[in-house]
Amino acid sequence: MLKGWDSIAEFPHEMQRYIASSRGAPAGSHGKKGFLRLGFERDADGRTILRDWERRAPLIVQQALYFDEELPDMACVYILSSGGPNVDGDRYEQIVTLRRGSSVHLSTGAATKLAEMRYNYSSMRQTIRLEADSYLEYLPEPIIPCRHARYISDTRLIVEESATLIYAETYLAGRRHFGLGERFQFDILSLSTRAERENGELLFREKYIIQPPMHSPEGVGAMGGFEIFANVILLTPKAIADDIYSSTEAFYCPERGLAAGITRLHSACGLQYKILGRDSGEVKQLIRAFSSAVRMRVKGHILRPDFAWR
Amino acid sequence: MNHTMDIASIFHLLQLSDSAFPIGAFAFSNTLESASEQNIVNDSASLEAYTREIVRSSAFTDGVAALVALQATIDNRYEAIATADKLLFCSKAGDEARRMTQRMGLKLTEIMVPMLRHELLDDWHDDISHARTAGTFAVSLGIVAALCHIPREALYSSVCYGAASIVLGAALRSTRTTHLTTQLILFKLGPLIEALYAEAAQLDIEQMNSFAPQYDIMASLHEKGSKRLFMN
Repeated sequence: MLKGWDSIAEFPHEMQRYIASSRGAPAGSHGKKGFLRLGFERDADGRTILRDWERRAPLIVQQALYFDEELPDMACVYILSSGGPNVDGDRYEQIVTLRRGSSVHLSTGAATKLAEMRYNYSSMRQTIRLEADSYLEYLPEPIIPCRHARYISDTRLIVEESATLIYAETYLAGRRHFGLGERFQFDILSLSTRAERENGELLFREKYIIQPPMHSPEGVGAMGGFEIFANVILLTPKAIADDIYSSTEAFYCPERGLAAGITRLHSACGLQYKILGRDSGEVKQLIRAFSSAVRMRVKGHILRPDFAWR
Repeated sequence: MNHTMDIASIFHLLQLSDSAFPIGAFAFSNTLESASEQNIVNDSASLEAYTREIVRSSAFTDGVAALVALQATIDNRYEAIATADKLLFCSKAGDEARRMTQRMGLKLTEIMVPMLRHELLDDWHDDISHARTAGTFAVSLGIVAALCHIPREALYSSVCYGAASIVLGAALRSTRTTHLTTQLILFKLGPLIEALYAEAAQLDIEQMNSFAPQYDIMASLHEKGSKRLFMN
């Protein structure tokens, strides 16, 4: 598990070449160290409320909204960034806790751009904790790594057996409409995810390192000609996972520009749904369709199509 | 190589890496069966590219775990072996991938226990048999390699060779290719494996990594599909 990233000894191996001092504000200095702590709980009326929170710009959360007609008691929260894209030397951290029985839909206000970086890198550390019978849909907008972007994320998911977490991440190849179009021109994406129980029992772990200057990810076996990669992790009780596994189609359709596969995670703790695509709208639809199936199985309601302006 | 190998160690390495070594590797295709069916692998060039990507993926997962297990065996740190096994097993996406590594790991251990007669390997076998540890193939191979005095570089080559030979062996049975083509692809892997080792040797077990989503989707298609010549 990555611990700090603030002292050289703690820098992960793959980031060692990107730890020069910026000519601007130092890495992790004021305004570059976004922090968000969100604590949700269910009130006496059965409504999920944002009970406690702490925020430090550029990460911002305004308030919980209740716009989901299917689940009106579910708190819907958008995470915003006042700083625009993630830039050189940004260090962000998010801690999200869902207490017993609470339900939350979490997303971002827009796509997260990782700006061009010259000296250092940007990072995101997340801890998402779900207590018994809680339910979280974490469906952020895509991450767009611009040329020479360097980004490392470390996500720790701590989930009780009776809780359900849908955790989705979508990565684009770059800015499609910038100049001639960026395609895997970033320097590095290092993405770690680890899921465990409250007692520390490891459920699964994965680490992706995508480093186009060292090895192109475009070839067969990796992106295989696709431009978008989405990774959806579902942690849920076994009976639910079994039903979702059975009803979810695995397919490979390059002519449609879309492919998806689903696998069971170790310890029968859930599923992993991976998507390759060319159109971010279609990938998003597939993620939402999958999430809707999960929501129907867990909550008895569908996830409606996203707002037209999103 | 930093270490010289004695003739007995070379002989053990050849035996362990031989496709005739009865651990059941022939029953798997490392997803090639689906890749062939989906026309992703349809000629020599695509077979070579697919093989190289799978080797790369193994190099930073199985390869790292095997190296860690070898060193932990030499140092007699059993807990470190168990941790490597747990982390590697939890990194395997899909039932078939986990089944493959466990079956091959168990067979390897069963074969080697009476040959090596070593307390650590006996404990390892006992822990696998009682489901106290997963017994992944790479970690089991790391233990056996240490007990056979096989050096790190040689073990690493064996892991990568194994990943490639499974794909190429399956290619002979499920694609239009020839022995000459598959042997050429295998032969050309040498410099790649040398470069991969230089990087992998610096990684600790927490830094195992891979990025092969198309491969993972092929694994899923195979797992959910009904047509199969191979177990994966």
